[in-house]
Amino acid sequence: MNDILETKNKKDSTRNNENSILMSDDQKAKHNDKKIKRKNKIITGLSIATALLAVSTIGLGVGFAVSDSQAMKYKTELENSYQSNFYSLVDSVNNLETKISKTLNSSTSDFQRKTLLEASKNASEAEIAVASLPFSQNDIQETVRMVNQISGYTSTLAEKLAEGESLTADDKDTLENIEQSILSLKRQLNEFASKMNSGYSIVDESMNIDTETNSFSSGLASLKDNDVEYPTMIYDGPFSDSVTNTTVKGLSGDMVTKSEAKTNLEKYFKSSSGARFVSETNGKFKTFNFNVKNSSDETLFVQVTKAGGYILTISGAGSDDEATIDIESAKKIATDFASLNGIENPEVVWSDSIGNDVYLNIAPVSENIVLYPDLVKVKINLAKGDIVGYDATSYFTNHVERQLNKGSLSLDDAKAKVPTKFVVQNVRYVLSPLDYNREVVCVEVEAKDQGNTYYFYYNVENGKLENVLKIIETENGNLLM
Amino acid sequence: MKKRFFVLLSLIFVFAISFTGLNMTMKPNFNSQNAEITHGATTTAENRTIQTKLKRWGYYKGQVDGIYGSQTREAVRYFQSKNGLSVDGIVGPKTAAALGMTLSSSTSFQSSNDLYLLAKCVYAEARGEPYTGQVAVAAVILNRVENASFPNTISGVIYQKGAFTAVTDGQINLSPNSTAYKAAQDALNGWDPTYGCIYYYNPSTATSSWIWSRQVVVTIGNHVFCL
Repeated sequence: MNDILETKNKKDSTRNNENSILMSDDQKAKHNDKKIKRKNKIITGLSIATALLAVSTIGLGVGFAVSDSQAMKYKTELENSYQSNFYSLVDSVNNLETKISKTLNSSTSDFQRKTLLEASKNASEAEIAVASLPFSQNDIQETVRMVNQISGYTSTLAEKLAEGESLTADDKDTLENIEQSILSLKRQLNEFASKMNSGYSIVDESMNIDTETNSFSSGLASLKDNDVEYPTMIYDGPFSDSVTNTTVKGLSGDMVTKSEAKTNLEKYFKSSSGARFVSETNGKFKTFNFNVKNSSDETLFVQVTKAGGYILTISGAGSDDEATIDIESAKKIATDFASLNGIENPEVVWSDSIGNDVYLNIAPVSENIVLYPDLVKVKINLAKGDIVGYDATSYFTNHVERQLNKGSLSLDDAKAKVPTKFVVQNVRYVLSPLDYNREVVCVEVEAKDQGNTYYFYYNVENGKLENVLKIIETENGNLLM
Repeated sequence: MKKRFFVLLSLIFVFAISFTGLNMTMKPNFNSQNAEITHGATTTAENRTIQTKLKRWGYYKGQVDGIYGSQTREAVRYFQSKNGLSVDGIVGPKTAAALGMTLSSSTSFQSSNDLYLLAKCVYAEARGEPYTGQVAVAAVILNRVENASFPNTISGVIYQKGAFTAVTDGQINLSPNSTAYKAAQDALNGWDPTYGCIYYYNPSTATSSWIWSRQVVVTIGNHVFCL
């Protein structure tokens, strides 16, 4: 087989030789020229391809290097911000401990008040710092809770001292417990800080996910439990448990069944035959929840209390169609609806329109006193006057028969108390919910200064200024602050 | 010559490709948000009045368009310097008085950052949910602000590490729609269909075993709300 191929090749080559012999010199030169040109072209092509390849490799390399250094820059930025937060956490915990121990070891209430206020500030700084670190949220809940409550507790004690009282033995016990907890938190944080001083990276550790939490969190897991014992602080102040655990006082009446609750809806909605049961609520309030279509064919979510069958809330977005009704008619729709729902003597005390919706606050009025704690909120869409929002939770939480008296402060007395630069717009008696579960009868004076509206609240018993609210205008309606 | 030109061109081309490609993948994708331009407290209508007055008195040469741009600011500065006012380019109550106008919204104007943040989080977390479900998500955020175990501001709660998946994966930077705004607004006005819940989860995707132990208050749409 090979022999045959070889002879064939030989034959071919001899034929080629013969051909070349037949060519003239001129032809030969031209032929060579072409050959060289072709060769050159191939070389050029190859070298361009190689150059392109090399250049793109270099380009990619440079690109990656640049992006890598960019990523390093981002990482450094983040690490720096975390570290700064960590060190301010350590600082504020250290300061907090000092302030608490100063309070415990001083005897004058003026000095105690000063250190308590500083402790409150340090505790809230600690809260901000701890929340800006990449701890898993579940891991630090207890710590956040502790510093928040310490902040609330110390400021409440400071207020107490400002009113001329002094610290009781119980207060001092609680402060001592707090000091112990803070000490152990302080110890852990300072140990961790020494780790940080030897090249620990919060970014790296927080990206490193253990089973359910990240390494940074588990490294400081003792924040979560172990040594730190959280003192229970019994007081009425910011973040006290009594604020979150309010009980329902204003809801009475027989229990209704699901179908009774559904039939009951016909009283409020013409189209309620279309009401569809969706779920139940089993929290502070027990309700049956329905989807109901209103006249604009929008589906509303309506919660009906099991006790009494009252409407507790309605939520809906509201249409953007052109407004056809005015605010006065909206007020009437809202108060009519509220009376139908068992709210006694409802009166609109505040209104604000945002886009196509008007938000109305309705309060029951008893003996000419506006009961602010029992506020009902209604949202009415101005396209067709549909009720698209309703919230009577405050009413049903707080409404009870109250013994109220108007004290000795007359409306005119209160007017005279407002600084002279203000122009008084309105005065009325109100029951004002002041900080944490305290209700006080006040005279409310609405007054203006340079276009700003303020509300002053004077206690009817002693004329003391209890609160000042200011209307803050935003592009989305007004805020009361 | 041609060859060199060609090589140079391809070089530039390759560089351009490698850089834009990388840049596209490296840059964090922040949606452009309709950032508000703050310049004091004036509305468009007030800006028109300011411009008209300043133009009539020869301080302002531009168009009366209600936009408080650099030209208007310069004109206001010029007016302030000529009238013995503090020169800051902002029409506050004093400058307004000198212009012979009163501002409807006074110094207390404040942009609703909280509303915007809340709407962003609602949209990112619950845009597929029924309206009440969106109000409920906003209410949970606000309940956390009130609760001692969580940060005390809306931004603190939303940006807490691992608190909301939509923050972790960057969906928080999508622009919220009007429904999300309305839901956020309702929650800020006090609506809370969950009565104080501080957690919610989607039972079909929740992975944490811990969350199942919480007391369930209500199910709205795909979310279970609990204490």
